[in-house]
This record gives sequence, C-alpha cells and structure tokens, in this order.
Amino acid sequence: LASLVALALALRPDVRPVAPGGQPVAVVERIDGTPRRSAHLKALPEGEGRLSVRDAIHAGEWIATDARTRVAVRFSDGTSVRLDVGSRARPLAPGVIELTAGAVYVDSPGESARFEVRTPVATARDVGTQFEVRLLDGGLRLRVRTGTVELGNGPRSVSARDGTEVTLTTAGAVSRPFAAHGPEWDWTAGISPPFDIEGLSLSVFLDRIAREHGWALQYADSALAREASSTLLHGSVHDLAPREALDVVITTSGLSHRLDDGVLLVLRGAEAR
Amino acid sequence: MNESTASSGAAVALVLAAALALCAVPASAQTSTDKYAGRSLAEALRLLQSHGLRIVFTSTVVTPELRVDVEPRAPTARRRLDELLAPHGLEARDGPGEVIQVVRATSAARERPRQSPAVASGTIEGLVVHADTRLPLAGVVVQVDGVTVDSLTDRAGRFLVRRVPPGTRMVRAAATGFAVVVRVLEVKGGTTVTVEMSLSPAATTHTEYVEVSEPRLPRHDPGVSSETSLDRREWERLHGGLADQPMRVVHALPRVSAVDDFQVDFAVRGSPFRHVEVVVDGVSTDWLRHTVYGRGATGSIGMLTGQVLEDATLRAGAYPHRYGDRLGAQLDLTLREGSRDRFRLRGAVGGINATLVGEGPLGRSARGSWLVAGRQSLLEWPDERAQSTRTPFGFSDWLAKAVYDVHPGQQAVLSVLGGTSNIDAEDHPSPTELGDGTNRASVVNFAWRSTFESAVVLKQRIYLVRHSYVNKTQSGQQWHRGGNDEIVYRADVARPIPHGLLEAGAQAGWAASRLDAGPGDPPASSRIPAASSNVGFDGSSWTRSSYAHFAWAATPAITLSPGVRVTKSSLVRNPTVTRWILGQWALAPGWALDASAGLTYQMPNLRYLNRGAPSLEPRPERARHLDIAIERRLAESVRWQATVFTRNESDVLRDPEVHPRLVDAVEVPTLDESCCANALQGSSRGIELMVERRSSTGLSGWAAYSFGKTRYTDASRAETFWADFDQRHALNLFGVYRFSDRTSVGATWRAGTNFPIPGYLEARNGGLFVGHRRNQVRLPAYSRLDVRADRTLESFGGRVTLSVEVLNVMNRVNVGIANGSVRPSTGEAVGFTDTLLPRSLSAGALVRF
Repeated sequence: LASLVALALALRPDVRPVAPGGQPVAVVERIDGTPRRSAHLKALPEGEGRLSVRDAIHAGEWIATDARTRVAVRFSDGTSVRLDVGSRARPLAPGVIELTAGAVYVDSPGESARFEVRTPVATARDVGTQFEVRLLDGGLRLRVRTGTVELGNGPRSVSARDGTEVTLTTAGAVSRPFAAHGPEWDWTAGISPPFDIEGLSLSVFLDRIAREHGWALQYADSALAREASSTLLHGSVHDLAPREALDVVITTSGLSHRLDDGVLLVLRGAEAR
Repeated sequence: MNESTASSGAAVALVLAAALALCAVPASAQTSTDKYAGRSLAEALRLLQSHGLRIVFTSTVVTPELRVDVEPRAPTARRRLDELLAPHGLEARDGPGEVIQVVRATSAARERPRQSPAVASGTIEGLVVHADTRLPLAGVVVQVDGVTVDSLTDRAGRFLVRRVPPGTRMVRAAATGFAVVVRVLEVKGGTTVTVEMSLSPAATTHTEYVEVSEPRLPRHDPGVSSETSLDRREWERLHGGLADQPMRVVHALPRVSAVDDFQVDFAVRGSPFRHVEVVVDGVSTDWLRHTVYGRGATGSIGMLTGQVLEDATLRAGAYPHRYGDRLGAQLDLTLREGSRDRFRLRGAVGGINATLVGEGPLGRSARGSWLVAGRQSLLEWPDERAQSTRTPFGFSDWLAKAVYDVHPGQQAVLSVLGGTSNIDAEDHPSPTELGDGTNRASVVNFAWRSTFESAVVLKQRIYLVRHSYVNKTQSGQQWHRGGNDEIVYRADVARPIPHGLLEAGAQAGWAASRLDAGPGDPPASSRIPAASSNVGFDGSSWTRSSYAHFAWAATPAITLSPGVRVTKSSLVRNPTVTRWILGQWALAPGWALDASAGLTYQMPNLRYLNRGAPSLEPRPERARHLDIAIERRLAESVRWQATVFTRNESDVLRDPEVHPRLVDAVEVPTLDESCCANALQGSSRGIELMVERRSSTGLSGWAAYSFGKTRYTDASRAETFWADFDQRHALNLFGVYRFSDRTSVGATWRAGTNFPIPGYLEARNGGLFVGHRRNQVRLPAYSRLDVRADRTLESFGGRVTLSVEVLNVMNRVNVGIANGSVRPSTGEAVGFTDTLLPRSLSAGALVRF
C-alpha cells in the first residue's frame, strides 16, 4: 500500500497553486465545484489555480467561484466564510475580506474580534454574528442572521440587528425584517464545513446544526436537554448535507424532531406524530 | 513500444498487484479472526466501523451495559452487524449516503405500552405580554400543535386552549410586529398548564415600517372595557354589498344604536353622533360623509369604501383621548397601505356602486407602497326601491395613499381622501323646493414617523380638511352655502419604559365654519326645517392641546393607565382638563376585570356658538364616565363580557326646537332662542352583555344585548325628558360561518326598542299632535335581518368573490324619523316618520388580481 501511495504521489500532476502574496490567513474547508485562486484579480486563466480542501489561503490571494461553485474557508480566528456562486473575494488580513462580486456568508464565533467584509459599496463589520453580504447591481444587500453588523459607507453607517435585511444603494439604506431561517439561507448550509461527530455530544451537534440553519433549538423538556448533553455520538456523517446529518443523528438517538417556523423542536421518539 | 518500456510496464503491474494483494489479505484475515463475544456492543460496532461500515450510533441506544454474548457467524460485516444488534432489540437501518443507523427495532417499539386513545385531554392557559412594557397584548394568535383551532388573546392578554392532546406540545404566539415566541409544554390529561409568554418587538426598529401592509393588531388599551375591534377580514365580511357602506359594520357592533337604514350616523349609549369622535388615519373629522346638509333628517353614507379599511376600533366610556376632546365614544379607523409585494388590482360591483382599487410597491427594493381607490355610485342613495322621502343623491369618493421609507427609521406617509355627493331633484313641482346641490369634502394628510434607539417613536402629522356644500332651489336660487376648514399639526411620541409605555402628544389647529343662507330660503310651510336653514354665520377658532398617557403594568395581573389632556380653545375662556384612569385586573385564568373612569369635555362647535344669544357665554360640555366590566374566556376563541356603565353629563348644549309645543294648552310656535345655552344635565346608565367568538374557521361573530336609560334635565325650563337617542333595549347579532376558505354565509340581526321622536308630541286618536312634554312618543320597535353568502372562485389568474345579500329578509316595515310639520289649525303633526329599507336583494362581485 505504501509503495502504491508513493507511486501515486510520484505520478501526481503539478497542481501547485499560484504563488501566494502574503501570510496564510485561512484554509479551505469545503468545496462544491471547482473554485480557483489567483494572485491577481483578472489573472485566472482556465484550468489554473484550482483550490482543494485544506489548501491555505494567503492574504491578498483572490478566490473566484463560477456559476456552479461554492467554497467554504475558515480563518485563523475560527470564522467560517463561504462564497456563493459567481463570487470573487480575497482575504486582506486575518479577519478582513474584500468582496468584489457575488456574496459571502460569514459565521464568526462570539468571542472573535470584529470581522470585516469590505466591498466597493460599503464595509460590514460584526461582532460574533452570522451574516451575508451580497453585491448587487449598483448596491449591496446585507442580511443579518444573528448578532449585529455595522454597515459603513464613508462617514455614514447603518447598524443592522439580527433578523434584518439592509439594502444599500446610492439612494440610501432600506431596512426590513428578514427571517433567520428559510430557503434564502440554504446555500450557506450546503457549503457548510463538514460535521465531525465522533465523540461529540448530541447537544453540541444540535446547537451547531441549529446555528447553521438559523433555527431556534428547543427540547421537549429539561430532562431531554440534559440527556442530550450526555449522549455521545459515534460514527461519521462527513459527506452528508446538514439536514441529512440531523436526520441520522436524531434517528440513532431514538428521538424525533419537528420544524416549525424556524424552531427545531427535539422530542422523544414516542412523541413523534 | 520498445523492450525497456515493456519491462517497465510489467514491473509497475507487478507492484500494483502486490500492493492489492497486501491490502486484501489483512482485511479478510481481520474479519475472520476478530472476536466480538465478550466485548461491549459499542466496541463491537467500532470494530465493524474499522472494516468500512459507515455505522452511526449513539450512547443512548447503544448503552454501555450492552454486551455481545454470542459470536456472530455471518460471512459479511453487514450481516454480522444485524446479528450483533438483534439480541438487544436493535436493528440496522440504511440511511443517506450509505450511512447505517443503529436504532431500536420496530418490533421492540411495538412492545412498548401504548397510550390509550381514550385518554383525557388537557388545557393550556396563559398570558401574553409585551416583553418591554409587560403590558398585556390582545389579539395575539396562539397556536398549539395538535389543536386545529387557533386562539386569540383577549383584552387582558390571556388565552385558553382546551382539548389539548396530552404529551409534549409546542405553543406558538405570533403577532405582526413581534418576533414569534414558542414554548414547549408537557400537557397531561385532565390537568391545566399555565404559561406566560413575552413578545418582543421584531428585530429592528424598522419592522413597523415594512410590515404595515400586513394585517396589524388593532390598537388596544388595557382597561378600556368597552372596546371592540375589527380587522380587515371581518370588515370585508360585514360591510355589505348593497352600498359598500363601511359604517354599516359599525352599526352591528356591540353597544351601538343605529335604527335608521339610510343614515351613517349612530349613537352609543344614548350619546348623539355629534358626541362621537371619528378618527381616520389619525385625523379627527366630522365631514367625511356623503349627505345633504341643511336638510334635516336625510340619508347619508360614509365617504370611504370598505375596500380600503385596515381595521376599526370603537371605544366607549373612559378611554385615552389622544386625538381630541369628545363627550362620547370614539371610532378609530385605519386606512390600509398598498402592497409592497407586487401590483394588485381589485374591482367590486355592488348594489348601487362600483369600486376600483389599485396598489403596488413604490421605489426600488419596495421601500414604499402606493394605493389608489375610487368609488362611483351607480344608483342614488337612498335607493329608489326604498320609496323614502329622503332626498336621494349620487356620490363618488377616492383615496390616494403613498408610504415611503425615506431612511431606516424615517417614514413618510401622504394620503389624500375626498368625495363628492350630488343632488339632482329637479322633478319637484315647487320652485322653492330643493333642486340640486353638491357636497364636497377632502382631507390631505401628511405624516412623518421617526424611530430612535429602536424604541422611541415620534409621529408628526399635519392635515388639512376642506368641506363645502351648496344647495339650490328648483328655480336655481342659492338656498344654502356652507363649509368647514381645518388645519392641524400634531406630534405624538411613545417610549417604552420598564413595565410600561409612556405616550405624549401636542397639537395646534385652526378651524373655520361658515353658512350663508341665500335669498332662496323656502317658505315656512316648506318641509325643510327652518332652524337649520335660515341662520347664517361665519367664524373661526384656534385650539391647542396636549396629552400624556401612561400604561403601567403594576403587576403581571394588574395594569393601570392614567392620562390627562389639556385643551385651550379660543371659543371658551378657560382650558379644559380631560382625565382618565383605566384599570385591568386578570383575576384568575380566563377572568378579567376592567374598570375605567374619566372626566371628558367637548368644546362647543362654531355653528352652535353663532346660533346662540350674544349674551350667553359658552362653556364646554362635560361628562363623567364610570365603566366596570367582567370578562370570562370560555374556550379557545369564545368569551363573554358583562359591563355596567354610568355617565353623568353637564352643560350639554341643547338643540334648537324646530316645532311648537303646548304651554298651558297654548301652542308656542317659534324657535327657542336659548337653544345654545349649556342647558342640559343628563345621565345615562345601563348594562351590556356580549358573547363573542372570533375564529378564522367555522362560526365567528357576536351576540350583544344592551339595556340603557339616558335622560336629560333642563333646569331653566324645569323639564326632564328622555334623550333623543335613548334606546332601552338593543340586540346586535352577527355571525358568519365559513364552510371553507372559499364559501361562507353570514347574517346580521339588529333589533331593539326605538328612539323617541324628537319634539313635543303626543299620540291621540291614532295620530300625532303637539303636546306638553318632550320625547314622549317613540318610534316602533326596530328589527332587521340581513343574510349574505359569499363564494370565491379562481379564474383568469385572479380571484372572483361573488356575493348575494338579502337585506331585511323579513321585510319588516321599520320606521325612521323624517322632516315633519305641524298643521297650525289642528296642531296635528304629520310626516314625522318615514318607512325604511324594505326587503332588498343585492348581488355583487369582487375581482382581485
């Protein structure tokens, strides 16, 4: 087997990335399609600079996704950044990313420093939040799932709280409520980092899956919540979509669940109707 | 290919084959040599995982004490897994992505004791409050999974859900403008679970700006015991097809007295319509009605189509006076905003009018909305089928409303509302009779709403009201010309504070009123009342006022809401101080006690002042109110309420006497010049009972009974008499049954004893004659039953609702008050009554795209 691996490595084509321009600031966690990277914004010739899982992303290095590609990267501070299809972005420094096309979704842990998404229209800054920034034709749309995001545009700034969508154009900012869950967020879950459940408690897993979908997690009762924290998961759901992973874990825990308007209710198996 | 290349290829093939062999041998060897017996089941499963099975299991199903006693014999890993699990009542089930899930076996699940299907159900009762102010929230939709009927919180914020299947239940409370709250409860059969839920305003301060196109909760003031609200859906079911008469909905509300089919006016607890404040989108005005001014008893219809109304709230007794000073009830109407979703068009054709409403988003990203509505009469009102003596008129009205979010937290609203009614009575043979006339009114209303720090809301509004009318005789001479103008600026601010909400506001306004009695005044023998026609006037006044209202949740069960309004008018010498206090006590689950008291004032209007004798100094009318109500919620959406009320009035203006009276057997014929003195002291007392079911499915409606006595005393003339709108018994029933979301039938029945015929009349020898005592003769009892059926169809990409309505199904001959006269020679009073609407069939269609 070792000789086979050695042979494979010897025959492997050279897929070294374009030389990065700065310090490594993030690592690729998941890809869906063929994302590419380049040291220059427009220098992305066909077939070159393909990204792979676990590739390091360096400061100043552009990442581009086409119409069928999404990519998730994790910054050194733990922040997960996901690029939607048709996006172009580059990390400028730890905790700072520049977006020139498409959309990014940011999921940063609560303890992190402020994460910034800079765009030609405005800069979005957050503290411990989940949000999406999407460039529009002549504007920018910010959707805040949790936490608070400050959208700065020169001397002016707009603060958006969770459950808010702000559309920023030259005419000004328009805000409206926006659900933290729903099909508009599906693409972010589809490219979410894989779940490693081995040895994980059920409650931690459910917290993660609920956060991934913007759901509120509720247990049927406090006893069940305690049981969930002491229930350990074994195995792998590595390549499953988050909802599939949820179904598997819930089933193997002898429980059931219900989704109602953004609430993930975990029930005992006998209570499933 | 040369020899060396061939030998290299063979070498590579050998290496690959060797590698494959090395990989294969250990796998089979491990499988055959692994020992499972004696291990824990979890260890055994991990062993199988190492063989490539994607097994997922948890410590709750595969518990640590489970051990493998018998060595599996199956040749494959997958079948050995089945052998390992079976003794423990477990099984392997295929999942997504080749995952194998370890679960409890179905057969084992069947062996668990089953819940008896006959097990008793439980009850959930609770309280929904505002998370910031702790004030109870009424009208919140409460849903419990497993229960098909939704509940609404009552005025005390309480709800009750019966027949809840036992088990874990999710209770969901939702209201527009608030974030949804879900609680999970364990319900046991035969027991009641109590829950309190706090609703927070939706995520941002901007919420209210963008959801205004959605149905909203009517404003609710805790402690206003005599308050009834209707939302848009209920309104649409009630407003009727014959005349798209929005006020007809109000006529059917509890505690409302309306016994004239042709008039928009109504009385509440014996108070005349002039004591009722009508507020439309924050504008308090009396002039939004189609009618014939200067004509005495006549027909009238609201200057609004029911298609543009969002909700309505009727308050009586003591309530917060945010808009103005009135002695009696308040009808608060909200006009809806256009859709921010897409362009929509709806057209309605009813018995006597057609309505067209267009609406849609405004600006990019739906930052605003627009709505334009127009209504045109097709037939005159009152309908000629009624054969009424009222002067018929045609009408048209329109509304344009635009809402725009200028900036997050800043919203502008502009609306223009108006209408015209036209009289065309040129077929009368007498040249001095009313020939034609026009009545116009319009309201321009601009509001700006600012939100600060997610909580403080400042609303500023400036509005202009213009009203004018002109009546001409058959010969074309001007008989009447009059009008009213008003311009008002008002600012209101609301700020949540711990356990309460503080509101305050101030306004300043100028009003003018004029009447020009022209040379074409009809002779005394005319049926047009002289008192309302031959006195001209022209005047204006300034009014400044401010108010404060504080709703305080003293405890989770008790809410107290005091308030005060100070008004200074150029019409009177001293300012008035209206004050009120409202209390609500949630006595027990399902029970609420409301009590309210207040002192209210109403300024004399310009018309009364100009009629008065110059030596009289006018004073504001005033009233003291006390209401006590107890309310019990019986089921999910059913409640009853009993209210006792008392109102004492002082300095009430007395209307001029139009007709003569007998004094010591001598007929006194002329107009009483003391009409405008604050001559009347009055009292009104009564009890009101109501049972109500509000539900989006099945039966919905109410049954309300009122008993009241309203009496006035004029000390200057040493006489006491029943009020013009004194109605002893009143029954208002409304019900609609929804068979489906497309089919419904409804009925409205209003019945009761009737009002006195105003004047000094007495019944003798089968006729009416001038008498000694005022308001001694009453109209016969009133009863009217209307039924309606609606059916909605979907076609041509839209929805068509067809409605058939029969008014006065029993074809009862109801009688209203008309412009009568007294024959000088005999003292006989003739023409004082008029027959009202006969049985009428009406069909309508509402088309929506």
